[in-house]
Order: sequence, then C-alpha cells, then structure tokens
Amino acid sequence: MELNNIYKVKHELWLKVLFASFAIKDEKIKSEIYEFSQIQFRHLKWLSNECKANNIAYDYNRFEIDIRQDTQAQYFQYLINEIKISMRQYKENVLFARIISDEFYMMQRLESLLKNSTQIVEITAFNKERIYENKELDKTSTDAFTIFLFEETYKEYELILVYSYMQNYTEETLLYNVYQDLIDESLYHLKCFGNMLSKMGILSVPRIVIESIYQREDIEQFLVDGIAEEEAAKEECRKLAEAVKDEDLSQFFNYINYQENYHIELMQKAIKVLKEK
Amino acid sequence: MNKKDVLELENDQIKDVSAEILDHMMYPRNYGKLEEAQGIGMCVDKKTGEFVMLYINVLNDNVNTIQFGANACQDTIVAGSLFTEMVKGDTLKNAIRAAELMDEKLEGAPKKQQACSRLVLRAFDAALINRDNHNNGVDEEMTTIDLVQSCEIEDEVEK
Repeated sequence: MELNNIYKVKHELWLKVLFASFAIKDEKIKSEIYEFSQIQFRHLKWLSNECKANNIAYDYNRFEIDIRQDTQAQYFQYLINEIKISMRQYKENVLFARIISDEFYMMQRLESLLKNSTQIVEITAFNKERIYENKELDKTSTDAFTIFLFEETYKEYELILVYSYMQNYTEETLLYNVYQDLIDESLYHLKCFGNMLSKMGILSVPRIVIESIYQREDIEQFLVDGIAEEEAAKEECRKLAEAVKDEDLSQFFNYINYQENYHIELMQKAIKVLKEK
Repeated sequence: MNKKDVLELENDQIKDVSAEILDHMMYPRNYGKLEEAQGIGMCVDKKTGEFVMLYINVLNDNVNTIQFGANACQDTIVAGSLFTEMVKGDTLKNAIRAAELMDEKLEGAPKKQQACSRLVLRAFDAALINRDNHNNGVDEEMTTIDLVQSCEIEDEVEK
C-alpha cells in the first residue's frame, strides 16, 4: 500500500482509538486508551514527515467512522481488530518497525483488559439522553450546550488537522512551534468536548475535513479568519456560561473562553512571522 | 419521513434540537466528496468565508447519488444532510421542485437560518448548472454561486 493510503488508515485508527477513549467510562482505562491515541497521533505526524520527505501528497480524506459499541469489552476487541487491520498495510522499514513495536504493546494491553473483563460494563455514550452528570439543565440550556459541543468538537478536530498540515510544510522554526502550541491546545479542547459528548450520550466522530480547508496558499487569511472564529467562540462560551445556570459548567466555559485569548495571541504571532517573511 | 416533514424540520432546526435533528447532527447523511460527479456546485458566503460544495450524479432522470461537503456551521450541515437525504433516489424534477418549495418555506424562517439553508440550495443549483455545462461540452471544474444574503450581515440586522 502506498504511503498516502497508509496515512489514511492511520488517520482513521487515531480517531477510533481517541473516540473509544471518550466512550469508555472507567477513568483508569479511559486514560490509558487516551494515551494510546496520543501515540497514534504521533505516528501520524511521523508518517506526514515521511510523505513530505518522499514528495508524496497526502490528505485527510477518509471513510465515515461509526464508533458505536455496546460494552467496554467490545471496545477492547474492536481496537485490537482495528490495529491488526492497520498493521497489515505497513511497509518494512525502521519507521514502521517503531510503529509496530508501539502497537504490539497496545494490543497486549488491550488483550489483558479484555481477559480481565469479567463483568459487562455498558457504554452509555450513544444513548442520546442528553443529561450531563445528573445536572438539571432546562431544554434551552441543553439544546445550546448540545449545539456548542457539536460545533466545537468539529472545529477542534479541523484545527488539529489544519495546523498539523501547515506545520509539516513550514520551514520556519517559530511558526513550527506556534503550530505545535495550537495543536496541543486543540487536542486538549477536543478531549474535553469529546468526553462531554460522551457523558451527554451523543458521542460521534466529527465529519470529514474537506481538502480546500487545509490545502491552501493563503495561510495568513486562514489565520485572520481563525482569529474571527476564536472571537466568536469566546462569545459563545460567554453566552453559554450565562445560559446554563450551573456553577461547574459556567466555570468551565469561562475557562475555555480565557484560553481562547492565548490562541488568538498565538495566531497573531504566526501572522507577524508570515508578514515578515 | 416525507417531504413535508423535512421542510418543517428545516425551519425548526437547531433552535429546538429534536430527536431527528440530533440524529443528523451526530451522523450527517451523504457527507464527503463524490469522485467523478457529473455536476459539482459550490455556494460561498463571501462575508463569512463559509461554503457548501455539492456533488450530483443523475441516472435515468433520477438523482442517483448526491453528496455534500461544507465549511460551515451546524445549521448548514443539518440542512445539507436533510436535503440530500430527501432528494436522493427521487426524480430530478421532484428534487428541483423540493428545493424550490424549501426556498419558499424559508421566507418565514430567521434570517440566519435562511442563509444557512440557502448555502445548500444554491450549491444544488450550481451543481445542476455545472452538470448542464458538462453536457454542453463546457470544460468547467465546478460552478460557483455567491450567497446573496450573508448570515453575518443578517445577524447584525437581527440584533
């Protein structure tokens, strides 16, 4: 299989592991699976470097992913199967030897978790109940919260992909570091929102990011538009913090709101570097 | 779900998240690029940069395949999912009529909602123009239509 097609398979695998971690309720297991997803994300980065080094174009096209499983144990088996499918596509070289080594360990851990799954632990991430941690939100707040989570989950996923793409094709160290900070911030936000979707029973993998969003020449314009979007997101957070009438959630939305200031600073920094080029 | 129900949903969407709308938010139908489409249309909101791309294949006067992709808000995604699901498999004539009906129904909807849904409807129009152009031997990758009323401008008006 060509490297760009392997990239596609690994992109899907990253999402499968990541969203499985959101679906799983047991905090210890969730954390371990999430760490595996981070490793998968790093594999993806290595593969994009490899594509660039070999002048191979890659993209973020992929199949739609249905992540639904009924029990925790089914997730362990599902991930084992998916890793095996991915492994079948690999080439024989140092990079893939490193990836295989990581994935063998992941499979060993998943096999062990599966073996120790003596009780059925049901998954509630897809039950569509839309109740968040037993909080009594009214219909308007619940709807606003629902829309916010879908909008922002997709947005963070999109930003991770766009910044990763830009990072891979920049030769500027400062820009590279800015993109890395932005990726890290978005990974954290995606984790927060993904786990919230799961608690609400409305977890799903975001839609595909279309090519024209990341394959673009006008990076500066993307950043300018991105700042406007961050400003809009700040306003959404502020409105939600007021609307939800729940102290914990209000605090969370205010926290996210203030983090957006840092993202705007980073984007302004990137624009400055691009202008000076 | 019949056409009338879909049209009602289009007008009610998002401000009230029903079970049906929630399902389209979780699992947008017919989403993603369609390779080798007979018609590719795009509608752009130049003010916000949001856009919808719509791909269509017609076989024996029926909408055989229809897919869309978007850089847009959740309202637009739901509108695209509902619209493509409604017209897929139907005759092209009925699909065009359904788009016209939806356009008429939108007149009573909030301005932002009108803009979001019209991104989809105009992209559908553009895809059909592009298909006609191809049939007439015109070499055109896709047809683009600009959205007349931006959702951003209308937001300001509504405030």
